[in-house]
Amino acid sequence: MKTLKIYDPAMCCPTGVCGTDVDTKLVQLASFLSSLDKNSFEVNRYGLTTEPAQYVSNKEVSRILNEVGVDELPLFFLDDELIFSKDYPSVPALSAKLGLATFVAKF
Amino acid sequence: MKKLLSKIPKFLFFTGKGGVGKTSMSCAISTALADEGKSVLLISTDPASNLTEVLQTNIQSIPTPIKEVNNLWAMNINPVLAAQQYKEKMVDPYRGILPQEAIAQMEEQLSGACSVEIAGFNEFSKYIGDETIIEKYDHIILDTAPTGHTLRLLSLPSAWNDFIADNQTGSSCLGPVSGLSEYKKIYDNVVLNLKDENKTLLIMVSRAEQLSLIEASKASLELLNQGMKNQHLVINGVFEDIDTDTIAKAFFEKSQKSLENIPESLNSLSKTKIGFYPNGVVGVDSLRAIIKQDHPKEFKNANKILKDSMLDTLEGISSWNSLLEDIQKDSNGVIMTMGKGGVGKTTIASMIALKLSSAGHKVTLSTTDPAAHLEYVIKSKNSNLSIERIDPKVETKRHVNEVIAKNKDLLSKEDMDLLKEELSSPCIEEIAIFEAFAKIVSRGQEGFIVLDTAPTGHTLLLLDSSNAYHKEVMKNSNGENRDELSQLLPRIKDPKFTKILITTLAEATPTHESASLQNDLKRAGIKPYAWVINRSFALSETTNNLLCQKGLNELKYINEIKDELSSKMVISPWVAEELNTKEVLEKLCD
Repeated sequence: MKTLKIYDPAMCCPTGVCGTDVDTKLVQLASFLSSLDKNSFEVNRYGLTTEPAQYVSNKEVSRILNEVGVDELPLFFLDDELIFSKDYPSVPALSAKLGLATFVAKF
Repeated sequence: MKKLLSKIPKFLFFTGKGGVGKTSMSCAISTALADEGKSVLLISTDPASNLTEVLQTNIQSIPTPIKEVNNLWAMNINPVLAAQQYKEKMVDPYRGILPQEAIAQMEEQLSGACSVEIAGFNEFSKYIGDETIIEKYDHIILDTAPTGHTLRLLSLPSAWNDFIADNQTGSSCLGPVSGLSEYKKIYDNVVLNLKDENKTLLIMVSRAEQLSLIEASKASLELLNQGMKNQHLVINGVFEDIDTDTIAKAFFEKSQKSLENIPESLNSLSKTKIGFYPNGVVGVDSLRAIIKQDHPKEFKNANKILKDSMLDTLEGISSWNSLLEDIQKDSNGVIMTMGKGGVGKTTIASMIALKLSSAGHKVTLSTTDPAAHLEYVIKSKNSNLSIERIDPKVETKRHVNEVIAKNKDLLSKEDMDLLKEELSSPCIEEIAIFEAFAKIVSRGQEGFIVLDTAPTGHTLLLLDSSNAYHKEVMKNSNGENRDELSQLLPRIKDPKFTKILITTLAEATPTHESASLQNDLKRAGIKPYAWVINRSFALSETTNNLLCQKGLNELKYINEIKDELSSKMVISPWVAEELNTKEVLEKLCD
């Protein structure tokens, strides 16, 4: 069982559909995350606006925000190891990091 | 009236075109019920509520007791304010803990249109869905915002219920209010109560005017479709004074004709007729007089006094001709009529569009009012003039289709399902309308665009969200050409490009609401171009005693606007004829 933690920047919704434009990458990512096998991965996704407490209680996130800045969001942690920051990874890039090479073909 | 009072259940809603007297009626009925010994809570959900003025008590955002009426409490729910309070509650604990940039991001996110809608809805739901609050009162009465807003507000509970139930990801546009599912029970209760004929009565308020009745009938059908079957019609301000004066006769006949032609869907409802009161309804005594249906008193020499006073009042007021000439110093730009619903924004906008197009300019007349009916007002064939309508439903569909088409080849079926789910959020409508509005304003470079905007409350929300989106666009501009969006606010703020005509009636409520609209615009960096006083009996040349009283009452407000609110104003008279031909419209600017 692996744990994936994602700290989003302030966003209306995880697909970004509420803006004046839609980020296709975000829609794909949200769908990919919901398709992950719940027995192999625990996915926790936090929003800055809705769950600010998570950004404070996680020491590493708090450190990055205070020392580097908000522009480092989003932050992706796999079992507490930082695997992506600053920008959303593509689905193939993320699935490779998770060790799920088969997903590359699908997307 | 007695019959109506005896059948009022727990919840009472008022709806109808703005300016028809929903607030007066809801205050009068609340007072009457309280006078019978019932405990009554009166709630206004209009961001520009005037309960304070009508009840002569400083009404707060919590139930405020009314001194002169035992058992009556009143309160204002201001969705904009509620969103602000929610924002503070969410952000304050993290000040100084999270970096300033992060705080700014949170604040910006919580200022969006979604948050305002949700916060307003939350507040309103408490009083219709929470047993612990509703058991305290015999009656809960909602003086709702003007029609378009009312329709949306009331159709929200079921829309949102479906949304909460269907949303499988658990995170969505409703995100700004985290833990929304906690409220699900309350929302379920809201829907049940609204549809229960034994618990909720809907009062459609209308003037004895054709457009007002058509409007009420549309709202009636729409709410019937939402499952609100228990409805009653109140026709307010029916003028029944028999007189030889041309204007009085025309006014009387116009009222009678509209009453004879009540639209089918309203005719089957039970009805209450309320008389014409020339001096407006302010204070508890006048509310009680309405319930008793007292006849208004004659006022000696009203005609002569009005004539004498008019000369002073009209001094320094511009003519329509000079105003129209001034507008034509440019050959393009956006002209917007703004103000409370029902003051004739559509009529004034139509007249201006006609005059400009007759003068040879290329003109587009457009409306964002969800309850507009330009097709009734203007039936002219003029090659310089085109008419457009921003229909919220159509715009939403177009927006959704555009987004889907753009992402069709990029997404798998599962991704597309998720996208479609997010696109079914109620916030999407706000975005879609905003985009259409921005598009139309951008076309003001090519010719004249005349816009009759939606009623005041909605307009404020629209402009407020345009500010929020403006920031969002600047931040996210991802190479694509979003010029029309990013230029919207600068364009509206440019007095040469955008001319705002604050449209009002010379009556207490419309004047004071327009004054607060002007203040809000100024805070947003927008200065109105001029004020238009519409439908003035003072200018109509009537000799009828009641109508001259009405005219005298108007002078107070005309002077107030001239002295305190605007350096440039024009007045249009009340006209007897239906405003649906070029000739009649031109009488407004003689």
